[in-house]
Amino acid sequence: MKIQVTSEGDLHILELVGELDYHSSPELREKLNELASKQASKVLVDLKGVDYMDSSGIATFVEAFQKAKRYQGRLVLAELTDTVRGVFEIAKLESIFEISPTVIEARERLAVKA
Amino acid sequence: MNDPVRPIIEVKNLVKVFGDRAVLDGINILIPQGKITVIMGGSGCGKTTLLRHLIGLHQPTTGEIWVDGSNIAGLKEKEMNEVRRKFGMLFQGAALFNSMTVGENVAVPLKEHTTLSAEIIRIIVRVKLELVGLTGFDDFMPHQISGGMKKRVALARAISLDPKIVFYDEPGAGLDPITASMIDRLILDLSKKLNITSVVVTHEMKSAFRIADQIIILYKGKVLQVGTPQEIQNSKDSYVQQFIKGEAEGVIPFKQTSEAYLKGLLET
Repeated sequence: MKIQVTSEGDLHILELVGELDYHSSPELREKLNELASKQASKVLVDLKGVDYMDSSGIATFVEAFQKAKRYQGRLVLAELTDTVRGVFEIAKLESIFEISPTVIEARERLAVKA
Repeated sequence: MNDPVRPIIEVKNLVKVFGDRAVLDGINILIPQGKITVIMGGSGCGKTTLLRHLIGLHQPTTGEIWVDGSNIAGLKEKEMNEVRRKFGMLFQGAALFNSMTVGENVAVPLKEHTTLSAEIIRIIVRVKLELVGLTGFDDFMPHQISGGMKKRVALARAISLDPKIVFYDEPGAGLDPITASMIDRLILDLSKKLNITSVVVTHEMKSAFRIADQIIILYKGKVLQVGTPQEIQNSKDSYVQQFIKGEAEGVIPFKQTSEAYLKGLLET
């Protein structure tokens, strides 16, 4: 899996490409933990390049969400493929996350207050 | 996206001989991906032996067993372990570790096969327990929960690594009819929601007709019939009819003839 992190002021964008599974999710966790330790206020995860995600992927996002919530940070997930969306739905977690259909919409969402 | 009817398991001319007896005698079956296949048959028909071959616990005398693109017949233990990561297995007796909590039991495969952190494993365990309807039971010990709940914990453990295939050995054994039907519903639910291929070995007719997309009936180590529950129900085969109706009298001999008995007795 490739993870590219870019920052634009207080907005941090993670673009993921490949399979998010128990081999690759520790690397994503590391990146998200770095942002959490800096108390990053706005994190956008672009998932359009992720064609498979397993339970470790979803657990990584749950942990990042818990951490962000503690310091009132925001985590928005954008452009979920059907497979990835399905994993969120199965785990009954699609309602707790902020999910955007497009990266543009996710940026707009983060530009306004929650 | 995978074609939902692509076979994920293909068994070709499988023969297993124990001593001078062919327990499996030329088995050919296709197990479609994402569907529930029920393997049925009376005691001694070879269904448990077949299941053991599918999960690599027995090696065939001859024949091939293709699981998700690999022929597992003749695989070395290390290679077999790689293939086994794609499986989940629900054993007949749940087989929980009594000294561990429910949550720790579900976490065992994750700790053994991955390098995931304890925090991530804890979250995965909670998601899996929710899937089997056991949210909040993480800290219970196995002796504090019922037999049906133990089965569900074992199922949560079987799906902890997101397997493509789950094998169930007599999932309803030892459970009351209501709990057994709850387990059936869970098998259906997981299969549909997670697109898991399920292979269920059972002799319980009601359960088979409730959950199966495909039923395979074995008799004396051979495949007697393969079909949808409807096709099996309407089968003209007298063996199949006797079997599904559970009749003692019919073409399947309930006991040996007295001639065979005397012959056997006098020859030894």
